[in-house]
Amino acid sequence: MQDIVSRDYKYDFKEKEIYTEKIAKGLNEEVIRRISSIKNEPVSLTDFRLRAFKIFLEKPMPLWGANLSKIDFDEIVYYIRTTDKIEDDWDKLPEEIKKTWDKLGIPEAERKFLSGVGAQYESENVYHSLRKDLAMKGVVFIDPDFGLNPTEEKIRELSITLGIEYEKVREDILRACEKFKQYFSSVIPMSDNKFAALNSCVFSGGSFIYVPKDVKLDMNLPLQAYFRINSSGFGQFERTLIIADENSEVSYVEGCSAPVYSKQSLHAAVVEVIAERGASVRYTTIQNWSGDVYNLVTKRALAKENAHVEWIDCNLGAQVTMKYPSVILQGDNSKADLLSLAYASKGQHQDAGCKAIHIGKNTSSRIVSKSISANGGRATFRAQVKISEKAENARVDSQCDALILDSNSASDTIPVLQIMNSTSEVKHEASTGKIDEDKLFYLMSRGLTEKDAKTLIVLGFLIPIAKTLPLEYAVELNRFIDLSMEGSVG
Amino acid sequence: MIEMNVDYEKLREIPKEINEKFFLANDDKNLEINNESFSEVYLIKLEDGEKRDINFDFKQFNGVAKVILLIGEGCNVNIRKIVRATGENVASIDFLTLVDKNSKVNMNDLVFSKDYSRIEFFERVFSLREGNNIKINAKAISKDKSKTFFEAFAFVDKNSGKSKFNIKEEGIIFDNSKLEFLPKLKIENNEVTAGHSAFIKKFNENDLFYLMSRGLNLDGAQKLLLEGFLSEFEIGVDEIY
Repeated sequence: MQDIVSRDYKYDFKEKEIYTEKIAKGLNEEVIRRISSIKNEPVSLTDFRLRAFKIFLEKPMPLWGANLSKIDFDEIVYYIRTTDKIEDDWDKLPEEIKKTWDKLGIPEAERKFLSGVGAQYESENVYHSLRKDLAMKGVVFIDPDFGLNPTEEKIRELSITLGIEYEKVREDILRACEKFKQYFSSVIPMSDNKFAALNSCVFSGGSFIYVPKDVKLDMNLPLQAYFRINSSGFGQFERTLIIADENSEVSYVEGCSAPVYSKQSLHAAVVEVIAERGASVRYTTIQNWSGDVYNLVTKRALAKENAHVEWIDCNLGAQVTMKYPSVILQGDNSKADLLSLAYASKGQHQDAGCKAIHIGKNTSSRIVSKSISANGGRATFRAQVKISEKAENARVDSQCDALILDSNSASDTIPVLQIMNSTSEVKHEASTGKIDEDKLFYLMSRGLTEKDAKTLIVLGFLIPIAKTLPLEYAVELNRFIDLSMEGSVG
Repeated sequence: MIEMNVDYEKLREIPKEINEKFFLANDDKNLEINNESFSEVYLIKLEDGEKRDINFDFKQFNGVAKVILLIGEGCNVNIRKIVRATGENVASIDFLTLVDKNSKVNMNDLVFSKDYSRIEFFERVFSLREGNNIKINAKAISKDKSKTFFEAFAFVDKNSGKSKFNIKEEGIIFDNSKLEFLPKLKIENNEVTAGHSAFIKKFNENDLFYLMSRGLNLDGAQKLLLEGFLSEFEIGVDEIY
């Protein structure tokens, strides 16, 4: 196990474990009731969790995809709370937690290029902020506990934090919370799959975002959430719901990391996105969990008339990833861009891909996948394109490229194209191969070392995805590839 | 989603058992199966260095068939398969091809279903050792509320270095029909160049307009385009249209 997780990993720093609440490992009804009670949830939400638990127990483990047989649900800690309240000032956080965020560079990033930040440490958000001008426009960026249970006390605190009058904040929050309740668990029901059921019974933390009608956030100044696991053998189950109302625009970025342990950790999030008529949502994920994390996430978006949804999904870390961001193109003329990047190194299986379900007329989706397998890693691209009977003039363009850097690594490509409408047009292309020796020779004959030449070629290979990332993340991706290539030469 | 838990070691052992158990195809290695309704396994074995053209024609086939082709070292093989189903036909046909080494294999597949029929066609090709060049060119047509499922699966073994693999799938779907493509690649060797493409389309409107502006009616224009689509299969367009 240590061997598997011992790849170069820059986020391998641990802080002393601190908590105000920690529930003993294992999952049962008592644990679920305890989580619900700590959060002071209404009875209906406790019932929701308990119903999900029954479904979780009934559903079998998936038999396809990556090997999940080593997950032991009884060995996982399902809830740790580290602070009693969500702060709006990094300096108010306990020293151990503040140090972590400083090392990750989140406060600095917030100052430079973010519109708002949510920072989750273990099970709960410890920090939340939103630019005042966006809050004035009615944008809501809060914790799910707040969204599902908006008490007067929480609203008052938020109004003080934002420096906006109470009545205005109250009106915006209550309007947004009505929407949250309406759409919560509607795109991904708890019975969707075993891990969606698991999330539904123990969910904690994450983000709720509401962007009002006609409000367009700068796509270059995204809202960001960062998820950090610090403890060993821990499970993080955040819940994210983004609602972009008619003709609005929002960009959201999430990142994640954890220190290296010998015990397995589990990350099973549920992400739902609603793009109302004419709305545009870009959801970017930079997943860089340590090599002991099972990353089993369900992500799905609903695109209504003329809406546009972009999933940009970068999977660099984790021992096992199974993640297939989906878009249901329900409205006429809706569009989806599904971009996926996977880097599978020693001991890693990146089983990632996407789904595009075309229901409305004149819908279109573009799928671009780039995967790299190195040092014995395995990358699997799995996609499903479904064009329903009513989806007239649907267009799908899918491209999937895989690089295998050495003889111990492997790559699989498994697209499923289901077409039920004769007016549709679906194109799919895939290629798998190693680094082109002519290109390598060309670069090396001009003085580059083998490692530099290979790095340059790999970076070129990733350009279609890298150019969609915010600049700071693209730079970080380049650094990651540069470091990862150290072990791939020779 | 799709199950990928295949025991490849076990699969490779199958031909040995079948060799003793089942029917060995005749010398000219052509199979024509008409209006049959049964479940059967065919084994066809090509010795090292053989150069062959093999044709399979499943006409109005109704049932389950499995064909196993063993292709030895240094072979040059062209394989053409046509599967047609109409009316009440429900056909499931599974082609498993194991290619040893330094062989060139060209496959041209045509699957068409019409009048409520259903076809499941599995084309699975395993490259076991180095130096193979394998091409699969598959075409599918689904018409009149019929359903076609076409899986093309290429597996390149760890020992199969310096091989090339190419899968091309093209489909035409008419009103109220269903067409499902599943082109899968499983590559365990980095000395391999592999690719697949799938294209499902309606008739190109520009092409139709061009032909109709020259006096053809819609039916005539569509037939002509279909004829072009089927050109390598020597099959009458009237049979489909």
